[in-house]
Amino acid sequence: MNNANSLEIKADLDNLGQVRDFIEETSKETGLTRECAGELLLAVDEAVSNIIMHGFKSKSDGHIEVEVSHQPDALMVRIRDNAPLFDPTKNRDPHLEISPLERNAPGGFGVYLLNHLVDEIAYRVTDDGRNELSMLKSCS
Amino acid sequence: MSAALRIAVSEEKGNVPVTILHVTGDVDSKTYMDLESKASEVISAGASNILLDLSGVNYMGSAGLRALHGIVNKLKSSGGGKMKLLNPSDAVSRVMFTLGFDKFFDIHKNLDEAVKAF
Repeated sequence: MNNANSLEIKADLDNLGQVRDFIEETSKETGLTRECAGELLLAVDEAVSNIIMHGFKSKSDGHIEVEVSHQPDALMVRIRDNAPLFDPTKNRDPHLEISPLERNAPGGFGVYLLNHLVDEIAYRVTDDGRNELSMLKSCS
Repeated sequence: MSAALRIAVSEEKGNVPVTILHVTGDVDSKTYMDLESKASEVISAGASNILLDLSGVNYMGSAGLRALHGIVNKLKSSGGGKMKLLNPSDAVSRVMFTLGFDKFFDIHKNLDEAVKAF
């Protein structure tokens, strides 16, 4: 099976719930375990939140496309956006050994979560010049 | 399915007065500020022992942890106080454990025990 479903949203934090519902429904259709689906949901929400807040700087004139393809025992999620080019896979991990309660402002966790919750993550620039983040979550 | 964030407030008397924030729905990059604001409001009104009941949280992203950090900072700047967590849901536990935040919070599974711990 290699079906793809996609969702396009305006880059607005109000639409995060819509993205999560889309991922949740698709995960159910493919029979992912609850835990596995929850991890994928968290990774996608963090990725889309980062694009809206940092890529588009919370201006809602941008568009984000979330495409999910079913693969045997796995889901591939591709997120494309027309924000300025940025590779989130190259960001450094936050210093997790320091208590978050001692930091002035915790940050950088979104990218850390992406890298730790999915099995494979890759970034490329599409032929039409958009950011594309691919995340593979396998649950066997 | 996604659900709107709701926060209800109640009071318990243990060794000291404890203000409980019952959080339900989704805490994401949009709504986390509402949680921080509600906590700020009760702290400004005099609460210094805050118990966050997280059993009804349907979704929490890293922004939710930013809210918890903000509440701890608000308590510090208001002359000291304590925040404890009650029954984090699976969604809360997932983000807390993945980022290692669970080590830094006092987490309880039972309301009476949590109230007495202040």
